[in-house]
Amino acid sequence: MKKSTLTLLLVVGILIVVVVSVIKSYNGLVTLDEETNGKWAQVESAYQRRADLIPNLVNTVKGYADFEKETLTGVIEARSKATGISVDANNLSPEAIANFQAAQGQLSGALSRLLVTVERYPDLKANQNFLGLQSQLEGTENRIKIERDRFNISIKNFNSTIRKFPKTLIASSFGFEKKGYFEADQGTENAPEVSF
Amino acid sequence: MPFGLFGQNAQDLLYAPIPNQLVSDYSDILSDQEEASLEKMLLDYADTTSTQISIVTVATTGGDNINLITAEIAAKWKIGQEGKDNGCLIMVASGDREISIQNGYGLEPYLTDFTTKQIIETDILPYFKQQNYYNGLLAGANSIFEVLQGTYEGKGGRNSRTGSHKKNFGRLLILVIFMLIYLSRNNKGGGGGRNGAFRVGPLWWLLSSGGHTMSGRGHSTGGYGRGGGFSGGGFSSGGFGGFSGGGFGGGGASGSW
Repeated sequence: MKKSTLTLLLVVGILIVVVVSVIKSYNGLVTLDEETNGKWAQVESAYQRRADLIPNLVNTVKGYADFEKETLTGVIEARSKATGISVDANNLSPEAIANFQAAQGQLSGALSRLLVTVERYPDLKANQNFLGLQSQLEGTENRIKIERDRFNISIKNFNSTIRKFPKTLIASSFGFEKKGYFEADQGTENAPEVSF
Repeated sequence: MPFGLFGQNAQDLLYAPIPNQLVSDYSDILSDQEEASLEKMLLDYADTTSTQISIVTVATTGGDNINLITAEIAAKWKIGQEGKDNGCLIMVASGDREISIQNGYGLEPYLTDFTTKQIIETDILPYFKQQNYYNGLLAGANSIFEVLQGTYEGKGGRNSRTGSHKKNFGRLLILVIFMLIYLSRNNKGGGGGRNGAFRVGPLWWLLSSGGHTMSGRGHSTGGYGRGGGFSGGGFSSGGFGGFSGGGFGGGGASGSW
């Protein structure tokens, strides 16, 4: 009689410890998950900031009558493609991030072609509007780089946590999945040089 | 790494202890007096507005984009106040002939990328081209003050003058209340009045001991030496209390000469 009570107490005790540690691990994962979502929002807003600058930039450049049309349409098209792809913060899968990055990378390429072309137009380079946009664009590229780095750090933290034992058991049973991060790719690993 | 080379490369600053002054001239382009005068100016500014502007000079960024390394260092040091993110880091890489000014999130709406670029190009670089780093930094800091003027007043950091004004105001209020009590007792007339004065007297001194400026004004008989806000200077000699938790996200601009 006495022995069985003891066993019961022991079982209950172990059960409590297990449940508490499961809850703690789960909550820890939720925190990390939310952190990556927050960082993703920052990344998106940095990219959005760039997209918002482009119509102004295009209009300013357009004013110079003989400015290459193809370069401009290239930027406009790349912008609409890039803004068409949005990633749900609850689905930061490696594929979704890669798609997003590819579209934004094309826009980066189109923008740097535009800025190279501008070099041939001294009047445009001296235009106050253009100078303003250029420095804003430069600052925005820096913001993008910084927010991407911070996002990657949070993703790395999240991914490595859900793969480690025993959290991996909790992660898989509650459906936490590995998330994608930004790969360093050509042209975006360094913020484009916007020189005066 | 030999000690003498410390701080020559901006990347080292990420692994070094956070400095406890606002001006750190690692590449030694400023004289000691110039450094001290910039430090005093920025410290006064931080004390009155709580906006922390820091100046760092290094020899090189080690090949990094100067904007990114500057933002990284500023974020690591947490320049500015927590929640207000009102920090600013001016980084000069004298060997690379590059400068970057990075603004905390809270300053970005006022000190836009373009404004920052203009400050660099029109106020700072003309001096830097003549190797006159002190005047360049002075002009740059003054322009930043002008841009931010009025936007971050109030809540000071350590040793803030605005803080001591608030305290003075509180003292004045208590003083006025006591005076009213005193006067009302006096009005009741008779010997009781004298008694009352005797009791309130020590309190008066206790209350006014810390607030020279205000009590001087209250008496209106104070001499010339007592007037004005100059007594505040005595309070702000406490030195820099450290960076306080500001965040950075890449706002700002750079230039080269």
